[in-house]
Amino acid sequence: MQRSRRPFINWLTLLTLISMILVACGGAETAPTATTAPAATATTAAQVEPTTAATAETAATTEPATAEPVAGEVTLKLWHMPNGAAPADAIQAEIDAFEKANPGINVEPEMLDWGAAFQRIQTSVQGGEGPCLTQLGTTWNPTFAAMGGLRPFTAEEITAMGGSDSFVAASWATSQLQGMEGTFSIPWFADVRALAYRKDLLEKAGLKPEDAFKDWASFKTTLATIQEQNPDVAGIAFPGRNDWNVWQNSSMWIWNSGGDLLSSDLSEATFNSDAAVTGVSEFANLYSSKLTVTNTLELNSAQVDASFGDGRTFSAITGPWLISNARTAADAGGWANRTVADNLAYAEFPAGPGGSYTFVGGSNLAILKSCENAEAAVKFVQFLAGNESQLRYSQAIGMLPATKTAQADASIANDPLYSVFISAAAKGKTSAPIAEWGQVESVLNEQLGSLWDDVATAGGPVSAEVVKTRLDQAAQTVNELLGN
Amino acid sequence: MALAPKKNKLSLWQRIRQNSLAYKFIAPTFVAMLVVHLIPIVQGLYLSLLDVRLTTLTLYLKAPFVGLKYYIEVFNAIFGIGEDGTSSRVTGLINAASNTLVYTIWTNIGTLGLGLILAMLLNRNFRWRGIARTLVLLPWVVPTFVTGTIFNFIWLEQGGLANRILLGLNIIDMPITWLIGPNSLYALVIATVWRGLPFTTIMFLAAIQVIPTDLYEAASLDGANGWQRFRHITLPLIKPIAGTQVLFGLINGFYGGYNIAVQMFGGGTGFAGEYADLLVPAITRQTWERHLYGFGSAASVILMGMLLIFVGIWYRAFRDSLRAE
Repeated sequence: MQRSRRPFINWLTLLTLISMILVACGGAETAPTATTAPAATATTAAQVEPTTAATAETAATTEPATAEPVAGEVTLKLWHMPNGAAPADAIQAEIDAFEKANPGINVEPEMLDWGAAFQRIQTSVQGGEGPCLTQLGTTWNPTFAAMGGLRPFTAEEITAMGGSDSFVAASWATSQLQGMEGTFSIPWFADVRALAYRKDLLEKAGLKPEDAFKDWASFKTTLATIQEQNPDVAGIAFPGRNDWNVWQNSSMWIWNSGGDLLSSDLSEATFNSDAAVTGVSEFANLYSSKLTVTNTLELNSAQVDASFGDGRTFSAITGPWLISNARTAADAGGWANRTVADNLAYAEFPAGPGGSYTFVGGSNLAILKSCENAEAAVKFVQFLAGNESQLRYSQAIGMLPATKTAQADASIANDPLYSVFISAAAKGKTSAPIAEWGQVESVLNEQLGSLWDDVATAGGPVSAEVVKTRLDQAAQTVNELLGN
Repeated sequence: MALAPKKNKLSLWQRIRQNSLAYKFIAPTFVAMLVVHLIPIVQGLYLSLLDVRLTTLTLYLKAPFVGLKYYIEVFNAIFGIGEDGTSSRVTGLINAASNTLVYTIWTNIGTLGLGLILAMLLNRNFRWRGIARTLVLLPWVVPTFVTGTIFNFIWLEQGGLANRILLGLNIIDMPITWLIGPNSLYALVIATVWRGLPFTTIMFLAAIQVIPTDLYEAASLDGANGWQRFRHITLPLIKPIAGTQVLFGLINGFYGGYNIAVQMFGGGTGFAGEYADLLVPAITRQTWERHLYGFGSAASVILMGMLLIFVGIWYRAFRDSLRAE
């Protein structure tokens, strides 16, 4: 009995082993062809369902097309991040409009989480496989460009989009890489920071915005006055360590103090200069002077925005996305506190000895080198950089368009809330276009984050020495990373 | 060799042949483990000897060979020595290592101590025992990322659940700051214990349930009190399980904390501040954000080595009880 059973088990084992080895070794070649097809159909099916019958029809017509390839029928994969409150709808609206105008080109979006996106893009650049198009955080462009993963845009393609001058200067700067000729991505939308405040409380204090936020001294007086008059309202809220925006928020104080993050040739850290230390100390001591929400240092951006929306703070360091919170009815997801909603206003950051600047971030669009349908991909980028899409998409996600033409559109330029961001963006500064920026940012975030720990535990104002020690430490690491 | 017992005389090959059916059954799993464990480990080891940085990442395993350079750098960073007295490209590792040690000790004390207490309570007969056992298991089904997010809200100084309870019970007069400053490490420990408790509880409960009740009855007849029965019957008999739990605890402590920390502090940045930065988050951050992949592999190998030392100590401590099993 046992003898007769043996060959069967032997065969079974052999078969299992062979199939496992095949699966393991063939992964690189066989897996993609096996998975892309069903994945593609799955995503199209999922997206077709909520959209109109028209798109369902297009999807239906694509079926036979894939079976028998027709010249010009291409599918572009797009990776994007969750932009705005309804990211899938916002991007789908653009895709629908593009596909309608460009029959034969289909765009397949995939949403990546911000936390995972960098590694996903990196892996796909390294492996030479991935989407055709991807959204990049503005600070990521130099990294992937230096890795040789991005397809540069040609001069003609840029001219067709209105030329480099048609984009906000700070945004355009993020599409470059120092030491390498070329434009590696196209600015998609701009994330500009400003000071959100309550109009009603300022009026009650008898102050005018142009005086209240004029410079550092008047700003602190304003916050103190508001707190005195409104015991339940704190002067300002901003995220401390537990947030993505650590260096961004401090950088504005460095710039306005007359300092800069890196030397003009971008080879050395200068964020530990005396001016920078003064700026950061000024920022840090807003907390020590008890002008902030008591727990502001532990909050993240979303919690800061919520504390403003709830009316717990007079002002907050934030962006244009609050506008949609204010303008959406409470029962449709807008702020419940309508007094805050009706009195939202923005101001540019108070000027320091070095002037008044703001941080401009946002996102760019890049075409990966591995993209086989670059021509179609360029078309889609040109569409997204076009005026119509710029206006529609930026408003849908609560950011600023990246082109000057779209910014000059009456719907934005004449809007009392958006207009502040346009003038702020013109004076915008941003990260340096160097391949090592990600590393600079990481080091800065660590030391500035630890500085917030110092501030929280100091029990009083932090001295300039404490700030300098942190920034010196960061500068030493950054200089070493930059090869000094 | 000559004194070896007769039954050991079979050669390895003969033994494999003798148990060929069993080997055939484990063969598929063995191959799978080989593919998903061994190959990445070997690759990681090799990577730690290569100069894989941002500019050389596309070369991957063909990147320039630098030998033990990164190991020396990590040791320099840990012991604060280097060519110029500092090795600042790699920062905060020693700090993260000491935090990790404190974190591991406290999470183990928390999960093992509380787990044992809960297991003993749940082993008693009471009316809602079934519901209580189910409820104890709940944190286990919460993903660690979600645990981090939930605790971010629980620890908020203003309006957070923890401070509300502590203030309401008059245990504290002023709200405690959990998410920034020295308390951040304990905020992380408590969240980890909360997440890990169900597993230790259920393991201890299972161990306690198989202890024969007649042992306790006999001890009671001999006049042993509750503590004596726990000390001389329960503890020795659950020691093998406790040993395994300590091993899991060590591994989880050294390699853990990432998901919870990333969500609880910073919503994704992974930096929990100097007070609560652990080794794995620190290595991950420096590897990926600073594009020091070769360094990251070297640091991970060193972390693995450190853990092996602790596992060695653990093995010596629990060797006898494991044999008894």
